[in-house]
Amino acid sequence: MTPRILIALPLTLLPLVAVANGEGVEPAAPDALLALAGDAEYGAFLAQECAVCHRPTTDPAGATTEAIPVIAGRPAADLVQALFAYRAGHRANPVMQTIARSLDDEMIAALAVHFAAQTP
Amino acid sequence: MTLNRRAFLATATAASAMLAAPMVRAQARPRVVVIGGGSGGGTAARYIAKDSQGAVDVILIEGTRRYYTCYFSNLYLGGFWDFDALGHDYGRMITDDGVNVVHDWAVGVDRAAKTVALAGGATISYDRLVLAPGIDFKDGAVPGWDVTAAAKMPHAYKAGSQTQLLKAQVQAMRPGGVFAMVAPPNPYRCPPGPYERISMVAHLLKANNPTAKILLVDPKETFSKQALFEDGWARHYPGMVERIGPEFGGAAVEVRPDTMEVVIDGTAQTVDVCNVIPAQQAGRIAHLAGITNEAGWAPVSAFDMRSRQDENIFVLGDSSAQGDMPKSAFSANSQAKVAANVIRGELTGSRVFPARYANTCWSLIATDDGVKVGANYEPTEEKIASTDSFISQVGEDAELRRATFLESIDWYNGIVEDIWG
Repeated sequence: MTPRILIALPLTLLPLVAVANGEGVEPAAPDALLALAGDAEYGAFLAQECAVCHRPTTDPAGATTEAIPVIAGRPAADLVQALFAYRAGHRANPVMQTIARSLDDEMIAALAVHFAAQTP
Repeated sequence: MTLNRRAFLATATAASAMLAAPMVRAQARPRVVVIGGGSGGGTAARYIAKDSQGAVDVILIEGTRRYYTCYFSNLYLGGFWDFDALGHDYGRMITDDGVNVVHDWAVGVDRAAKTVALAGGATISYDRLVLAPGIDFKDGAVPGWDVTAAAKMPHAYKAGSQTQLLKAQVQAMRPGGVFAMVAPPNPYRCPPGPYERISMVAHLLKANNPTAKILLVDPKETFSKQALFEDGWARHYPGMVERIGPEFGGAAVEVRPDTMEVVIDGTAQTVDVCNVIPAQQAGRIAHLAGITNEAGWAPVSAFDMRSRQDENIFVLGDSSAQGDMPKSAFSANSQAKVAANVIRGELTGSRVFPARYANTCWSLIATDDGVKVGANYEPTEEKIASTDSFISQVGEDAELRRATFLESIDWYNGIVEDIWG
């Protein structure tokens, strides 16, 4: 998979966990980051920023194109991996890269614990 | 165990105290009044009400019963979005989140008494006031134009009937006619908006009136996403768009609505449609509240969007002077969440977290040809300062441009749900 094709894929098709894809493996988030206990209340505040794009539920009546996935209810480890990969530039979307670069490890852990507790 | 008389009385007293308690609390509930039910005010009202779970009395003052977003109204002009899908009402904010929506116009703020006067005659007291009135046009900004000319030369920069009028005018243009736009000087709502509009009008004309011309009269040396738009116009609409910048009189323009003339640097030209987007300032209530600066905007602290003139007033979105963030719905929504967190903390003791701001602006140039620009921001003593940014690149492949367009649709559906529930 070339970087160009990776860029063109809708976000929902991008793996949320590190996988081999024939030409390489997305580096996994460090164990220390994955093990960090998130502050759920801080995560709820930070997640307000995400809510401008990421809808809280999958509404069958909604006109979503699924270019921006529903992230509520995703496993915390998947969310940590996604934000780690965007922050490091392993995933291509510049909106998510720019936002992820503004997040430290504590913020990523807080967001992950918040979204994992949501019901989509 | 049976209740003796004393125990019964004690129980009854406790019960009546419990019954009375909600009323007492209701009277003592701190009140936030929000003026303006758009992207800043709507977000603030909804988030304060939702997150305080009834502990704060939130009253939203909004004149219209159905709010039409300026964002995506260009896509309606181009035929990519339904007009009805631009409109949003307040029912869910009321029933799901407990916002008290009052459909009236705020006509005065008494900062000493902490009250807001409504056009309908009521006076409402507040503990904190959120002003999010959006933009108004500066009188005399384009000589020959005022709101009485808006039926002939629409601004279409507050969405709704003006947007419908502009589209009807473009569709009724004679073959080979001229569409003119008088673009605004900085700062103004939605920096890429006029240029996305040029793109969408060109798209409409290319299909229905391919010999028509577009005349863009612009007082600015440069504009948002300029390289992306100019590349797109050359690829999709070659020879159709002519831009007259300030070096050729773009800043010295006058209009004559009765004769449909645009006068550029003293030379009159007759056009078929003229979209006048005048210079802008904060909505009038911000001026009436006495919190605006000489430029006509309301300066705020970058740490919480609090007015620099009044500690009990917060100003959100287009009407605020905050620093580097563009005047966009995304920005207003981002600012509203920071202010809502601070206001709720001050009134209920909830946790207050450091301010964070972000913005992304998507624009559509042609079918499946979307571009975007965005940034992160941090507060400083002086202003909200940009810390990191990105922008689409000229030469991106069609798949990426299509993905960017689809992303913008999801963003629209996301933000309107975030604001109006």
